[in-house]
Order: sequence, then structure tokens, then C-alpha cells
Amino acid sequence: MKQRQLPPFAQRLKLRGPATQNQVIVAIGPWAWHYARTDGLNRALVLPDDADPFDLRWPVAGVEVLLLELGVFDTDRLERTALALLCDGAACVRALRSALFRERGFPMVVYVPDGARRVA
Amino acid sequence: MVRDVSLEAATVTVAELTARHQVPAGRVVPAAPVRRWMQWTQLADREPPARLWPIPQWLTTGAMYLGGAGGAGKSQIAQQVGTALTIGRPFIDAIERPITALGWFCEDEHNELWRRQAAICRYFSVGMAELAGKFTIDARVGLDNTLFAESHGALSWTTLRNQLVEQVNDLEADLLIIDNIAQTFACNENDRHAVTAFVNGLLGVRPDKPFTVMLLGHPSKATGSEFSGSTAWENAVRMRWYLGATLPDRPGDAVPDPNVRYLSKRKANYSAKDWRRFTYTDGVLVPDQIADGRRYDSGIRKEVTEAIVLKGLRRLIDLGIDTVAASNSPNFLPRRITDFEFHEDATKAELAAALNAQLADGRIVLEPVRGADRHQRKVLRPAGGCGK
Repeated sequence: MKQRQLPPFAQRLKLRGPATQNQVIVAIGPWAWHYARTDGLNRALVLPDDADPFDLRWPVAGVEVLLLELGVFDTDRLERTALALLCDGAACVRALRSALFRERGFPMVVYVPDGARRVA
Repeated sequence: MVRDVSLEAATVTVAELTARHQVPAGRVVPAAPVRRWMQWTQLADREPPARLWPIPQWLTTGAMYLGGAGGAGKSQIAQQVGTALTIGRPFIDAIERPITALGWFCEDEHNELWRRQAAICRYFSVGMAELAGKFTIDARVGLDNTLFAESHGALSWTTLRNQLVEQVNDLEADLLIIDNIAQTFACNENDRHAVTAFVNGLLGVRPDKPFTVMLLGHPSKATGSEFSGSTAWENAVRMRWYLGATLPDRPGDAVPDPNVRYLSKRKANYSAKDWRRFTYTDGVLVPDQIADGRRYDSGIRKEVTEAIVLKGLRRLIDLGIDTVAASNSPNFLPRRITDFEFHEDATKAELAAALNAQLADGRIVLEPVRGADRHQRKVLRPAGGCGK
């Protein structure tokens, strides 16, 4: 089986140590790189536009992930990324979409493992 | 007022996502949380099943730890136990029914395991082909064997665990031998939680079935150590065995016999502590037997030591050496027996205990004699004279 690569900026996240375990952000979309580079807390990972989320090894076991979709509106890709994160052990994935920032109530979708609907 | 956005969040489960998106082959989809609540109303009128003992009083279901220094013979004894259990032949103790076993031997190459197995099969008088499908050995030297590691500060199972789960469940293995933990456990061995999570996770490899995991590990450098790392290595397992050249409680004051090994049950949640003595013969560790066919174990050892004391006393008398019961005397019987190397593998403390027991019940008596200095002193004699 081919060993999956870590996503961009994962080494930086690793250097921050275990204290960051509940503060991982995954950014997708054309503004993702800019967001990750300017993230002062070094907690953002990037899904490159040309990569399948299942081809990467996400270091998110047991972690609540904030999934930011920046500069694009692609529900299929967002959901596939959330599923890949959950398959790599994320406790839950909270998705925020830049296209909806102006929407009333700032809607968020939470992706959770089966049976965990109540804790979302 | 600041609104809590999470309260308005729509929730989507993995089941809903997998209905719309395909997960690549080989990837594990997180399962629904399991609730194993005890159903008291259903259980109220039934008897719980009896505890399973693959080896009565020695090996039960759950995790067990076999420790011993490098070269002590842990892999050898594990391979022998695996063989005995799968063919249903008595080894450490009687075996009620044969079971299926899988061994991940990460330190011995294929041909070494083969040679060892050939000797074991000769000992048990069983054909190697009979082990097919019953005792599966994965010769994993040179492969990546890491099952549990720390990744970005979090403990996690590696993808290799999926292979282990597949193997165990395909073979329907009742026993899993992991040789050894240094190969498979890549976290801090002093981390109590990491150790406990590793042991607990291995038991989940075959869920809802009676399953035994035998973990092999080395002691630390400290004298008298029986395992290395956190006490969780002892606390997370149901049983702990130790294999060594001497008994752990009695390190012995003589040079140990290089062909003798003691397998001690150092922790036993559901049975008494015990041990067995083995002699390395023709490539296998053969449990010592007494002449009448009884096993050489803790009960019999006391009897054997008493016989050594009595025999030693008679031989010393034949040599014209009088011995006494005073422990501070140079002629103290256990000391003299050891000096003349009549003690076999018994320690001075065991010989002294055996002497006291025989003095107490009159098998050895104190007899007054007058020495060359015309002083009277009491020397040891077998009751009923020195006849052999």
C-alpha cells in the first residue's frame, strides 16, 4: 500500500506540539494557501486544489477540525474532504464557507461520526 | 447579542456522507460508537459463562505479558506454547481443547523459525503439516512492525493494525503472539496511558470473541527487573510470566545451569502464582518431570530440596565430615552441601528451609558426639542411622 503524504504545513503543526490538538484548521479553495501562510498560530493545513483529500494523511486523530472553504463553493469537494478527515480519526469537522459569510446566521455544517449527532 | 453559531449548525453523519461519496478501498470508515451496556434484565435469570483457560491456571483470555532477558528463550517458549495449544498437547499444564493461534515473530528470520519449529514438532511427535491453519507464524523480521505510534502528539494506530485485524479474523485466531512489543509499540514505554491504550486496543483486534494476546518484552537494565517501562505493562494485563535462568524471588547463590530456565507466573488475576522448570534439550525447552511423572513445579521443588539435603548429609558423613544446624558455623549443613556442590540447583536459603523442615519432623536429628578436643557437640544425622 502506498504511504500517504502529510498535507502542506503539517510539519509546522507538528512542531507546535500536542497543545494544538484541538485547534486544527484545514483550508481548501484558492485562498487556502494565503490563509495558511498568514495564520499566525500555525494551526492551518492546506488541501491543494489538485489533490484528492483521500490521498493525504491528515494528522487529526481525536481532534475537532475547522474546515474553511475559501474563495470557492464546491459542496462535493467540501463533503469529500470532511469524510477524509473523519476517516483519519477527526472527532468532528465543522465547516465554514466563505461564500456564505454574508448569509444571515453565518451557517455552519458539522460533520460527525455515525451516532454522534447529539454531541455535534 | 453574540449568536452561538453551532446551535444553528446542520449535522451530517458519516453514513450520510458515504451515501454520496465513495471511500477508497482499504480505508476504514469510522464506525458508530458502541454501547455495551449490561442488560441486567436479560442476564438476571442466566448463569455467566465459565472463564476460559487455554492453559488451566496459566493462560486465560485477555492480555498477558511474557518477559525475560534477551536470549532467555521467550520466542522459543512462545512458539512451543503456540504449538502445544494448537495441537492440544499438554505443555506447561494440561490443555483442554486445541485452539487457533497467530504469531507475529518480528525478530527471527523464516529459516530460524522453521528450524525451531522442526525441533518443537519432533518433541511433540507431530507433523509440521498438521499445524497448517491452526498455528500461523508470520516471520516479520525486516518488515515495518509498528502498530501503535505517536503522530503529531496524538496516540494512534498505524495502518498495519488493519493487516493484523484481517489476519486474526481471517484465521479466527484465539491466541495472538506479538514478539515483541519493542517492535510494535512505538510510543513512550513509561507512558501509562499509551501502554494501556496499546494493550486494550490489541484486545479489540477480535471483538466479541474469547481472545488471548501474548506480548513478549524485555526487562530494563536494572538488576531484578522483570519488565521495562511503566507499571501499566503489568497492570494492563491479566497475567504476567517471566522466563529466566533462576527464579526471580530466589536469584540463587550458585552459577545457574545454562540449560535450565524457570517460567514463573508473576502476576495472576484469577489463579495462584506458580512456576515450572525447563531444561533446554535438542532445541526445545522440556518441562522437567519427576520420576513418577509428576511435573517439576513449586510444590515438588520443596520435596526435591529436602531429598537433596538428606542425600548431601549422607554423602558428607561418608566423607567423614560432621555438619551442624547452627547457621553461623562453617560446618552448617547447607553451606557444606554447597561447598561440595551437592546442592544441584537449590539455593542456600532453600537448603536451610529444607533442613529446618526435616529437623522439625524428625527426619534429621541432632546427635551428641565428642570431638578430638573432648568437647561434646551436636551434629546432624539422618533419623534411623546412615543407611542408604
